Amino acid sequence: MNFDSRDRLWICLSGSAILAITLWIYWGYFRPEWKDYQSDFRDVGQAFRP
Amino acid sequence: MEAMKRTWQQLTWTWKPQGERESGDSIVRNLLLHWFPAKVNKESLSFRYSLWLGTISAVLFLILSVTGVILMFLYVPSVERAYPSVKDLEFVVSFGGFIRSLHRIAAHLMVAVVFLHAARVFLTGAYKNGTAANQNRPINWVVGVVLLLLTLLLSFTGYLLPWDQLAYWAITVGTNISRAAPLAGDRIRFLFLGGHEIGQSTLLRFYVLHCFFLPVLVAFLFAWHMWRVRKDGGFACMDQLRLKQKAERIAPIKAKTYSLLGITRGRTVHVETSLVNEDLHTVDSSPNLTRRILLVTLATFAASALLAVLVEAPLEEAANPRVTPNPAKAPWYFLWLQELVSDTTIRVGSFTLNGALVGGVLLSGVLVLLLALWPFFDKSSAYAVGAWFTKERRRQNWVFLIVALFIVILTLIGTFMRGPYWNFYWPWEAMPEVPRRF
Repeated sequence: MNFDSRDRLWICLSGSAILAITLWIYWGYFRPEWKDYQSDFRDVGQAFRP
Repeated sequence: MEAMKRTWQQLTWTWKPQGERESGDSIVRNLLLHWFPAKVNKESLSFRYSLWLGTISAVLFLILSVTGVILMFLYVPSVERAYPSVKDLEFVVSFGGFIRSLHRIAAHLMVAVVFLHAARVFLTGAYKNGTAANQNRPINWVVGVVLLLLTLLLSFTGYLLPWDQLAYWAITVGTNISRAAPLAGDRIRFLFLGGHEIGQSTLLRFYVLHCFFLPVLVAFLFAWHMWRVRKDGGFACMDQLRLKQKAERIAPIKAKTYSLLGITRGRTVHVETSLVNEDLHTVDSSPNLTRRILLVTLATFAASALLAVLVEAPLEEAANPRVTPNPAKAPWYFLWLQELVSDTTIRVGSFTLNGALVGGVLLSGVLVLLLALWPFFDKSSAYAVGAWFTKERRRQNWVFLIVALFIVILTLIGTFMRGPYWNFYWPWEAMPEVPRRF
């Protein structure tokens, strides 16, 4: 592979990485902030269930 | 319509030139690209020589400028409102946390990359003049060292702006070191802070320095730096190639001359920089150089954005001069200085050796001065220009690497092994919890 096609490949990879990161940021933005510790609440609820 | 078309052509360039003429035109006639040569040496394009660290620094500066301008729309440089505005940015503004995080990561990366770029130039002897006429690479090295110091200062002035505990005390430690400078120490600190303590005038001074003066100065010196690279005949690896050709006694191809040049005095860099068999060693800048710049730009942005998502910018509680964190640490790139200050503070009975003066000002001052003036002491031959770890410069390179390693080790100790009261703890030792001092 000459350096011309290698550069094109890396440009495609970098562009795809930027696209993936953008989607990741959007997903994080629209995902409720409490999702990360929701399961903790469930555990606490079960532990103290009368 | 024709004028608009011409303007569009001047702002853009072709990625698929039909010939050498079109390729050259797209560089020379373009607003953004005209400072590049129409043809570029293959070695200059390679990653193994320059590692493209200079371009990466420039891309990081661009990211910092764009994200910085966005942050300026939302940030308020007042002691009462700075912290709430950053908190709003972090938690209320859409994607504000990401923009802030990207700005912070790019700033940290720029400090590291500019230092690595300086290390690359040193280790390849690229600050030395080659054989061509009118070269002045030592001056460009000095400009580069000033750019490194300005990068540190840019990052340092930005550190205070969130106005949280981390910012307040890091700047307190940093500016206290400057107090030890002989004769003018207190005055320097006063000038920096706009008073005897960090307050509203400090925040405003740091804001103006960070958002206007320092970026403008960096942009100007960057332009000068690049202009000098062109005037010095491009990358120093070209000199190495030319010298090799001379050593192999390859006779230069007779170039075309013009009668007007016959009556001018002296020689231009280009007379000396002509290579034997240029076609073998050079390629058209458009699209080879432009494509690689695009690649480096995209890769740098992708890496910075990924780090910005993974590592969120910290925001501690609002700055409080009455609550001192234990230990209070300077920003990471000044931690080697703080470590040096503590290591050179020696108390024997009533005698105290002032570490801030010895380690913080004198030692670091001598190091920076030596770094800036090194090209004028380096007496190695032109054969040591533009190549990694040449035999002739082996000792210099070792000294540089040992000093750099020493700085890295001190930074690591300061970051991970200093606990309360600046006591030393091994990484496997637990640091004690100390109640806050009010």
